[in-house]
Amino acid sequence: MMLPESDNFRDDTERAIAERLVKLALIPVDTSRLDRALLAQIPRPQKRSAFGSLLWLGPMRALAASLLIVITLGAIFWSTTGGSVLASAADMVQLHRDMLNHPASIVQVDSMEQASKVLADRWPQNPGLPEAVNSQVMACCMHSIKDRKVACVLFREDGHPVTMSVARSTDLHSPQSPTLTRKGRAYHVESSGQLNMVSTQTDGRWICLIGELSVDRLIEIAGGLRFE
Amino acid sequence: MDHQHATNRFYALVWPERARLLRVAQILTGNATEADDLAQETFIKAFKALASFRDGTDVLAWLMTILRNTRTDRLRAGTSRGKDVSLNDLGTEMPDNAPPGEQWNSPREILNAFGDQTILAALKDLPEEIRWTLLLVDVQGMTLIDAAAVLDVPVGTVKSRVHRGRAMLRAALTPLAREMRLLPSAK
Repeated sequence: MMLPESDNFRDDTERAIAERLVKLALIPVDTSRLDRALLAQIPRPQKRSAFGSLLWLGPMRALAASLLIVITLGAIFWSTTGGSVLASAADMVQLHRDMLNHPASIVQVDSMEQASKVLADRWPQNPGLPEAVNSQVMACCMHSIKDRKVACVLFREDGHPVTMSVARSTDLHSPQSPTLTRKGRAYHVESSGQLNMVSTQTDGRWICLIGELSVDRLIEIAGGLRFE
Repeated sequence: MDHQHATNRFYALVWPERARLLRVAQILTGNATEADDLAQETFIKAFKALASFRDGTDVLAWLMTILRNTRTDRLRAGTSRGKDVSLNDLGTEMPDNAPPGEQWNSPREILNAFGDQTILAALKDLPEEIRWTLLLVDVQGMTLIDAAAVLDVPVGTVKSRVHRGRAMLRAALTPLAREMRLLPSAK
């Protein structure tokens, strides 16, 4: 369980209470009343329109500046569409179910090292898997989410299957879900039925863990992953 | 810092933290309207004090310090319904060799059987300082050092309050666990 590193626990009950309290951080809150009050007292800065700010320029300079803006916007559009894509909770749930229900598409392995070798054979440019984990590694595969490749490993933790997906952080990003920060790292948290999902970024990689474990347990596992 | 710059900084740095701060305010006060008022006052103070915030430091810890000071001021002014406003009366910290209290055989199962509202109600009955400590350390995941800075007490005090708070929660939830037959009846 991901708990303060400098803390200690006198017994199992105390640890369990701390773990239960962590979950209160996921209670949704309605900020609408607060938002309205703050916006009334601290209005958002008005954005000056791009066209308006060109008026002080001469006609030729304004034309050149306009062209520059169009080119810049085009470049931004191009880089955005070529950049990371959203890995939604639905995508990850489907991926986890595929791992569990379609054994033909996955390769049985016994260790993270073995999974790394299998993936390296199929996808030499893969983002790399973390070093050995304490969990029971069961299978691996290469998957695609909206045409972006993801390295996936299925392992068993506390009796539950967990799918770990690793991609380059330039390829995938998480949805705007509630975020928990543990030991300075932000974890996006989502739930779908019995499945919990946490995703984070580290060492230029996007990592997602999904399974029927508690959010805290998934965060603890994700926090312990180390890449070479 | 001019107003425009301060406003930009406020919306970039402080605004994204409002859900987390409001959640803490709600758990502290146990009342949605009061929590909104407390959070609002905190954010206005943060906006006015933005020049004192150093970039690169933890904005949430900074906001929590303001929230705590604001809460203390409101309790002293009587504008909040503080349960036990003994902000300085908690000098008797739980000693490190204090008995841990009744053991639960399956603590995770028992605790997971309680809904969030039950846990919140039990938290609400704890002394203010203990509640603050559990909120910062266990709910928000702050380190003992950071929590000590927010609470303006030594790290050892935070540590003993954390143990004490968990023990108090356990004691508060034990009768409920018995009612729900999660624990055997008291002999």
